[in-house]
Amino acid sequence: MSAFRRSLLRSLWRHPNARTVVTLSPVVFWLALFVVAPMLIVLYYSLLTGGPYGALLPHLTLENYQKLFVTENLRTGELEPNWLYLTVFARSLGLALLTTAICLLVGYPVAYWIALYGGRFKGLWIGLFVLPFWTSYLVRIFAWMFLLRDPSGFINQLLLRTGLIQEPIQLLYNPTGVLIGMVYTYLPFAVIPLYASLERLDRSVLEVAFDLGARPWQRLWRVTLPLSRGGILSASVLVFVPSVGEYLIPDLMGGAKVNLIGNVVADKFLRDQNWAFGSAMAMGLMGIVMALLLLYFKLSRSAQVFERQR
Amino acid sequence: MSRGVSGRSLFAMALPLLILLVYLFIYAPLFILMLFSFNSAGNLAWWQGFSLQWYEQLLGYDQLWKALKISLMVTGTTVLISTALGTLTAYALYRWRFWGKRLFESVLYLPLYIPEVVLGISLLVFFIFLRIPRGLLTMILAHVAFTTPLVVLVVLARMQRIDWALEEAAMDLGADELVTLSKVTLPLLWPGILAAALLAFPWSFNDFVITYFVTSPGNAPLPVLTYNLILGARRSGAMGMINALGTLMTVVTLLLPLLALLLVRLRRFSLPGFRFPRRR
Amino acid sequence: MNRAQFSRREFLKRTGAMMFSLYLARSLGSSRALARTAEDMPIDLVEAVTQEDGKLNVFNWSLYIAEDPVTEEEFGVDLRDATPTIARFEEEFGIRVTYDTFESQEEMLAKVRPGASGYDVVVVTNYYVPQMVGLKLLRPLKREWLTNWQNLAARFQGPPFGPNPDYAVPYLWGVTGYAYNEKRVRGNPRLGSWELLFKGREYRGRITMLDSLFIDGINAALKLLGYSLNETSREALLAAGDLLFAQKPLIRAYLAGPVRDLLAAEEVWLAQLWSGDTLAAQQQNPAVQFQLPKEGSDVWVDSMTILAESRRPATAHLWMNYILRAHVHAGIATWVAFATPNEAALRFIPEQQRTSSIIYPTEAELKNFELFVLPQGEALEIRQRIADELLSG
Repeated sequence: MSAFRRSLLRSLWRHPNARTVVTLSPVVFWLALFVVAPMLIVLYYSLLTGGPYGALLPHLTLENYQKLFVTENLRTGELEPNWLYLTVFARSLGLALLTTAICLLVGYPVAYWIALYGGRFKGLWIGLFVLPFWTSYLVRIFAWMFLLRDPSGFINQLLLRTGLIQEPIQLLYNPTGVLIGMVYTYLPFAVIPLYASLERLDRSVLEVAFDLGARPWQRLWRVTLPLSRGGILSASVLVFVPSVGEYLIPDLMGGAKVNLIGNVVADKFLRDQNWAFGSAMAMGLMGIVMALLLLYFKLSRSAQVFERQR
Repeated sequence: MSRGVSGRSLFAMALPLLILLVYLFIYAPLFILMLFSFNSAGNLAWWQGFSLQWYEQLLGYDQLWKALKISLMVTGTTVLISTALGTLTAYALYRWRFWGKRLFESVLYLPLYIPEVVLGISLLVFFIFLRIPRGLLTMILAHVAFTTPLVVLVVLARMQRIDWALEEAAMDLGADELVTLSKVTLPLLWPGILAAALLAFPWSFNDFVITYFVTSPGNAPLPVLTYNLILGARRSGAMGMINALGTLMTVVTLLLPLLALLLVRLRRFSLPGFRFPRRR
Repeated sequence: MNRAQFSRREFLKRTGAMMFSLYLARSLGSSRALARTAEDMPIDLVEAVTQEDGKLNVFNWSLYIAEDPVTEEEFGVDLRDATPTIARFEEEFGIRVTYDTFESQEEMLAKVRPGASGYDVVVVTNYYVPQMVGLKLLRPLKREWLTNWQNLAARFQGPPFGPNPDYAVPYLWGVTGYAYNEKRVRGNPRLGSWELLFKGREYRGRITMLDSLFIDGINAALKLLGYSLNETSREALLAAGDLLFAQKPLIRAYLAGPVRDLLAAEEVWLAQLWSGDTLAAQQQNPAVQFQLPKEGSDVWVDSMTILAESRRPATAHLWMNYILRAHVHAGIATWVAFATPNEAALRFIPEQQRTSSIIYPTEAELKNFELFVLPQGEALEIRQRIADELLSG
């Protein structure tokens, strides 16, 4: 019995197609059922008509997508661009862009320093950087809320009690608060790929640049930055993509005043019970993310070509 | 020969200061949270006196223990399943060529890129469509879906550093594929698999957004309980309790990797650094 | 394996327990103990309960049931025989209650609407009852099982205050008004009017509004404009929207849950809020006061309902009939500081609560107050769109 099973397994293993199917079918099954199928259902719902009490009527239509872009002006009754959602999309992209820029500006020196000056303790430094991000995402956001509240938050208390300010400053429940939360959450997503690419950097190139009399900033601008292009690109995508779809940080730190696409999608489903339109918005968000990823893959291929050339 | 790189310049001197500030930015919020969990005033971030009352309240909060149990059950099961699935997948991806590989890869990493709200809501809609009651089962199904790609990435990273000549040597010495797999390949992969499981654990344990959509309120795991405490802080003194909860969670999280480092010998264990995926 | 036998044994055990407590109460002869016996539960209800699995899943607003004993020292009345509510119910009937909470009606609806939520009893605010009936989410009540129904004050036994006696048992009621910090707002001539929240420029950044903007925000604005809450004309709703837009720069956040703590910490000085939540903040900070706006606002009634999906209708009725007991209902109302619709419970409510115009406003004080009816169709869409534009625009 056991010998038979072994020989069966062995012949199975020798057959390339059979072994691939056997090895991958569980994960294919899982992904098909719990990632692809749900997305397809949402896609289907986005094409249905919303009825009273949030019912879904089986009339196929593109109206939900149309409503994303065009709407009736409540006062004049005329059709006009749907500024509301366009604003939300623009705000989400803008905030994500700002987050990415700050993460790169802050993350690059850190990665640079660890990779080039970290010496024997490189691993420790990078480990220390990543460690806090293993704690609960919610706890980290709450820690910031505790710092930013006014007047009872730590920063305001510190400033008020030392007399540096007379009136408390509002840091939470506005775009600044959301931005701080996003940068804090996504900073390691920038530092790690940057570190990885800087660490692989060939030091002799820098030394040649030095020997040729390049000033430090020239070395950085002309040599280090171009050589770490791949890392910068990965870092940008790893920060940008989740920032665009962020839901929780605006929810908790924005006081419902700095809503992003993710929040509107959730509102459509949970508050308005409008699944059809909510699905269309979810698909819109997916579209943006997919477009960004395609762009990334295209750019990273050219970055690879660039790296190979050097 | 390193004079070129570490040569003294304003740039090189300002840098450590900046680094120090960034590390402060990262650690200060957590340390302040921990400090104030011992403060007698619950909702004021100024020192009023030492007190353990928030810990008393927290540990006496029966919902906490229930949530912890649910979290551990979901995450434990998820880590087991996704580590097995992910290792198999990584092996197949690394060793074999097959039809539709690129398509498979792009679908495989999809859960790492889809916005969490979208994935969470899609799963909610899907479970409702199939009339599967939400609870432990749906949480596990969802968690495995977004944890497996991470495991694949980590195990693949390990595979790229393995000396595959050992496998060939075993085959040359007469071991067949299955023996080689169990006696050579798996032991070589073991540190990678362990690292993947160690990373998958907090990944699943800390997930809030997707979990929030696929759980029923009766089965609130720790992150959902934390969220309810933060947003629905109608219970007076919730802030102090969250400080205490955050402190306990942070201490455990900071200690776990150290423990792991001690368990797995330091040299073999390295954080699966590059290509760190997107979830927190 | 042998279901019939099992349930018969369970039945005997449970009725036995009830009979015993009945006997105990009779022989002790104390009225307090009598109130605790199962004699108010019809025998066929008890029988039906024993056919079910001895569990009950309840879904309610957070902090909306007596979670601790109501004692003489703390509240001025001793209702320890009926509080904490869930523990006492479990003790008496041997039922295991799973109790979960939500923070908004929208959250509740989102979880219950898809079906298979697992809940038996859900607390629904008056304006969502018709919607849930329309969605066929609720199960009709069996009134002969609710022997304590007569404890309800007459006006809560039918519309409008009893949202729908066929489906909903009134649980607690209250008003939406606003909380203010006395130290900061003292002497302001606008105090008493919604104007304080909409036009109080001097409190910029210290004002919050409830986050169910499409209901509560628009309702407040409609009232300030002199309209009814249930006004559905486009002009009125748009005018209300304009007021809210003009108010937005003054608003710190649109929140419900954390407002209590923010008020107590004096981080927020003015907040659209419910009466009971304000009183809870007041316990932490005496400067927090509640105001019934003179232009009026909404009176709401939260009711217990049974979900159509429930497999424990009898146990659900047992729970409701238990809540309707005078002592039990009084215990809940006292602990949460909202008003009970239970006439028989009123005399067990502590004096200072019963006479408080915040918790039990008189008819005269409620002159401009109305019950809100959630509109359908265009009016709802306009409300949602205004809220979207406020939150996301």
